[in-house]
Amino acid sequence: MARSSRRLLILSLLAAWLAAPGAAAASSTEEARATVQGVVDAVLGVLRTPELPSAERRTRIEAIAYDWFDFETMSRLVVARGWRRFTAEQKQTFVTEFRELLAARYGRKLDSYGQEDVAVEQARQDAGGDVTVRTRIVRPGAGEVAVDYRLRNEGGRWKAIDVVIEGVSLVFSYRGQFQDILASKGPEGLIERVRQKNVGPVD
Amino acid sequence: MRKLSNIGARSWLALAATACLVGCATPGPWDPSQVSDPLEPVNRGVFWVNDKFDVYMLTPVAKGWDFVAPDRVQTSIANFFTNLRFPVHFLNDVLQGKPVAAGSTLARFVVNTTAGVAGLFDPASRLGLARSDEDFGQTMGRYGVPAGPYLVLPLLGPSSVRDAGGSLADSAASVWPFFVDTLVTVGVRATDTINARSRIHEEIEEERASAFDWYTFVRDAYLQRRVAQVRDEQVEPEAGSDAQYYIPDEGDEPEADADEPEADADEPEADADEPEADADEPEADAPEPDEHDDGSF
Repeated sequence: MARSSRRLLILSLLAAWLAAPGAAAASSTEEARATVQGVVDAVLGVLRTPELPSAERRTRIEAIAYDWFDFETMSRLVVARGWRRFTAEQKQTFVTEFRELLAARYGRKLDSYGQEDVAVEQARQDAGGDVTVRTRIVRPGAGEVAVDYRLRNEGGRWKAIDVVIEGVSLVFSYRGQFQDILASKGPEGLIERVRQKNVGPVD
Repeated sequence: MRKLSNIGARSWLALAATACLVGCATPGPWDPSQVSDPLEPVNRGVFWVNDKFDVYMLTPVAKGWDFVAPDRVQTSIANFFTNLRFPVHFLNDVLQGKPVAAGSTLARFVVNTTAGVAGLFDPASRLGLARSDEDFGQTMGRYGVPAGPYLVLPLLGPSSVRDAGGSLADSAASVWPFFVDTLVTVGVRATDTINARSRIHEEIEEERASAFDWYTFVRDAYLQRRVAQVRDEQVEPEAGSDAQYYIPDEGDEPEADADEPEADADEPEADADEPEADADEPEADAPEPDEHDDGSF
């Protein structure tokens, strides 16, 4: 009797111990998914307000994006191992310039918004704690595009650290291109190149 | 005698089982340190020629076509060519052991060829029949064949040793060229290319303008995309290799350090010395050897 109840206790402890990480993972994927859903709703809300002037629309989307993307982490991941060669001041400048680069590149696309809808689908937990959330852009009559967001929990908030479009990651696309520039021209040279893109004629 | 053949049969079975164990394993996610481009100087040359051809020949024609042809016509032509690729998709669904996808591909072909007027329309998608994009390159990848060195093919563009071989098999599996004249085939291919190009010329121009190194951008995007396709990113959220998302910053991130040795174990080449340098010597000197690696990368 005593023996079997002890065994029951051990078993239930074991079960609780086994279930705990799973439960934690489930809740963080759920949180991350909810965050993405919130951002998607906010962005679509702005895009679907046709009476907004184009500039105002862009300002609002930028406000959402600045809050939602972790540009510091993205910059560090893009520069990767070379990040240590940057002084604190260079890091700050780079983050600002890189953010502007992305804002210009994606901001221009806002005006071409058609009737796309975005479905937030499953989320996957990875070993390091990040969560990747799958979304799908559904374009009427033109098929779908898979867009995945990699999220990292920063002080209790889920922030995007990468965008992966049909398997192609934004972070790794820039990392590959920046590596050569960094190797030959150093941090200051890389910052200068990004700055030139930002001020120069883009198209 | 009987014993011998028995052993033969058994080892054959074991071999097949091992092949499946190896073959059916999904390859790892994208890892930039695995980019293999030993032919870069040649590739860059071919890429340059292709790019000039694209800018001065293909784009003007594609733009003109985009200007005169309504979107619906462009979509229909694209549908038509996609439908013709049915044998390739179907065969590779089967070779990858995906009965559901194979069934869907077959049903799509039947529906779109009949109700979709020879493939010009795509009623199958409205019926919820999923598209397949499998090709021989992906099938080989699925069975563990590495992509091998990156290749830029004249006119055809980005590829790899594996995918170039796969494309040859794909052409062989597209039955229709055998029934028509070479000139017609060339004309058909040109129509397909111009039409496909006309639908995305704005996006291409924008990417080209915003790239820092157009060659590297296209190469990395192609290789990443292929990894995702082999891994069937349509099913699962896809991001790069986890280790690549934790870059230790002057050793102030203990959890990042813990991840790095794993990366070492996986890739004993090139990459291996970098995380080590990160973990062991946080001094400013460490990046120097990196620079060499990066240069060749």
